[in-house]
Amino acid sequence: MISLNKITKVYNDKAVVNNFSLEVDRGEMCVLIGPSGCGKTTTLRMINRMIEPTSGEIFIDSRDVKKIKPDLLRRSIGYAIQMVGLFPHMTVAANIAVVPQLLRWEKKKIKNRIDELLILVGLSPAEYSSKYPYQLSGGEAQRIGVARALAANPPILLMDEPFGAVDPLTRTKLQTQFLNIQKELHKTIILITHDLDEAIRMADRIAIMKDGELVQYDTPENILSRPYNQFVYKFVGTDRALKRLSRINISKFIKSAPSVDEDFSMDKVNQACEKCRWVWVTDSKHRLIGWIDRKILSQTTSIKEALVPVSLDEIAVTEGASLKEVLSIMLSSGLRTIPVTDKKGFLIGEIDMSIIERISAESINHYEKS
Amino acid sequence: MKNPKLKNWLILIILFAFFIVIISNIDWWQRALHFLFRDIENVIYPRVPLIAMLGEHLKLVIISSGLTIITGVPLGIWVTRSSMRDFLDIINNLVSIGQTIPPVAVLALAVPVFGFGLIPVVLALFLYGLLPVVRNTIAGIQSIPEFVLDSAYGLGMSKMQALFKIEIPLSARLIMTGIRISVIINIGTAMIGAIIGAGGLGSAVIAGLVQDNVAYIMEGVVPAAFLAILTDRFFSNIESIFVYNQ
Ligand SMILES: Nc1ncnc2c1ncn2[C@@H]1O[C@H](COP(=O)(O)OP(=O)(O)OP(=O)(O)O)[C@@H](O)[C@H]1O
Ligand SMILES: [Mg+2]
Repeated sequence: MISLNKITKVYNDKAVVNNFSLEVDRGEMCVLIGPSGCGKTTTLRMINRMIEPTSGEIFIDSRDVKKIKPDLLRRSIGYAIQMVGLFPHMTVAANIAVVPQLLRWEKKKIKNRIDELLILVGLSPAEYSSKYPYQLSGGEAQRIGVARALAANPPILLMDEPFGAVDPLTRTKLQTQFLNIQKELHKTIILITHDLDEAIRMADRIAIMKDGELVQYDTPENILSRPYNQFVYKFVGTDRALKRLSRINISKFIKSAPSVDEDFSMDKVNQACEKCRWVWVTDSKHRLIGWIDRKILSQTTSIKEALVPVSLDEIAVTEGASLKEVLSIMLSSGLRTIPVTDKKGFLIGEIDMSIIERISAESINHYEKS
Repeated sequence: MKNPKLKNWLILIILFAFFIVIISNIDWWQRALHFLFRDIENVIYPRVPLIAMLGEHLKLVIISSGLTIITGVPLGIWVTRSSMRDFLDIINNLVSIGQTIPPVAVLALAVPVFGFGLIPVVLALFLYGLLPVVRNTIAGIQSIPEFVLDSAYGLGMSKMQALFKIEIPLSARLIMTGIRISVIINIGTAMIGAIIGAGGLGSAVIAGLVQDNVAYIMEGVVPAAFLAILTDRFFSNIESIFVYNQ
């Protein structure tokens, strides 16, 4: 557990971090966000004593960091700096090996760890181990930076905009990857970002900073639905309703979907659902292939003609999706009800727009009411 | 070429072999000089054989450059430590002064103290060669982006570890350049050794100047130039080991 207690840092008579207190529980990811220059990096660097606070105390697992030798403290905390900072004269493998070497791990163990980490961050060890930093793209370098921070398996990670220098698509991929890593490793993480979507996506709790002070520290849901003041309200922006949907997983809202398999008949359709106008159609393996409109079915003699084939990418969501993705597919496909499948395309259920309307209505938030 | 570094080393080896062959075949030397300077009767400096002059010259250069390197590099590193920042300008100025004083003036001042011979020459060469080494060491260390060092400390390196694992390797190329320049300057400047009896290739040059014998001058200058070229190549090759971004 990391605990910052009334931390202040003064530079040239100006408090760039002011009376800042924060607690991050073990295994939790705290995302620190705020405008440029609000003191995020300074705050983070006081935790591993890269900067000494002017006043206040910092505890890691109830040990005062001031009592731990800086070098030793830092070796026990993974740190990825804002500028990545790979060592240009060392290969990717040597960069990752830095902390294990400082900790005097055996050669064999280090080698295995390097391969393991490269795989973890999605880069092939055979291809990347012997590359030099100048041969990497920005995104690859950032991933190596993350791997290097993880190298000695520290329980705590401090990450300063780890996905800063990449395009939005790669960024989303890295975020997903990192979330998966975190699901496995349960590190205590403080991550800095400028990107609210990233914060909402990744955080267990978000700490919003302004002018060196903590403005609100809460779950993404609460930040979005109950912004503490005008600043947070403005900061999260007018699309907070949408952002909130992105935090809500669809699993709770999946309804069973009426379906028939491909060699359907009128009877079977009736059996599946008497009142529905639309019924999903699956192949013999229960994979979604289309839907039928009962209205058309009643007018046509050929049953096959009534089948509207679908492309899964365009109309279906998978189990892990958020309501935001559901909404986006509904809007682009023009459907009010869309199917939910698993990764292989097996029909699991369907989801209806009324859910989103209901949830959005609930989220007319606290701040707007008051 | 697939491996440019290998090619460069090969060139150096060939040049070196060539140099050895010429130096050790004084007959060729003599014939070539006779051919060039037909009206000069005596083309080989008679007092000291070429090999011996070259040996003395090398001795002067190696001792003085060795001293320059083992004091200049640590000095440059030392003044770039964060706690020494105040000394940085002072040292920079001091070594600059070292190069503005002509080595001959240093000789003039040093001879009364140390007498004739090796020591005053080494002292003059040492001071004269210090500037490029110190200045390049400082420049090399200062050329390392701050965030690279930052991540070194952030990962838990001590000051010493960061110095040896990060700072020195990353500034090695510029430091080597400084050493190369310094040694080459030294090879030329070591000619002054002859003035106060420390020998070297300068002996032939001075004799040539005094007796108006161009062949003697050539005997001193050509090997020195060759030596400078070899040195330049050698250190350039070493420098290229420390290029990390291509
Ligand atoms: N060493 C320093 N001396 C003086 N002022 C500093 C120093 N380091 C940071 N500051 C100031 O402290 C403030 C906070 O800096 P910090 O780097 O923590 O901001 P940040 O929130 O990380 O910004 P960004 O999002 O741009 O990275 C800035 O106004 C900066 O100018
Ligand atoms: Mg910052």
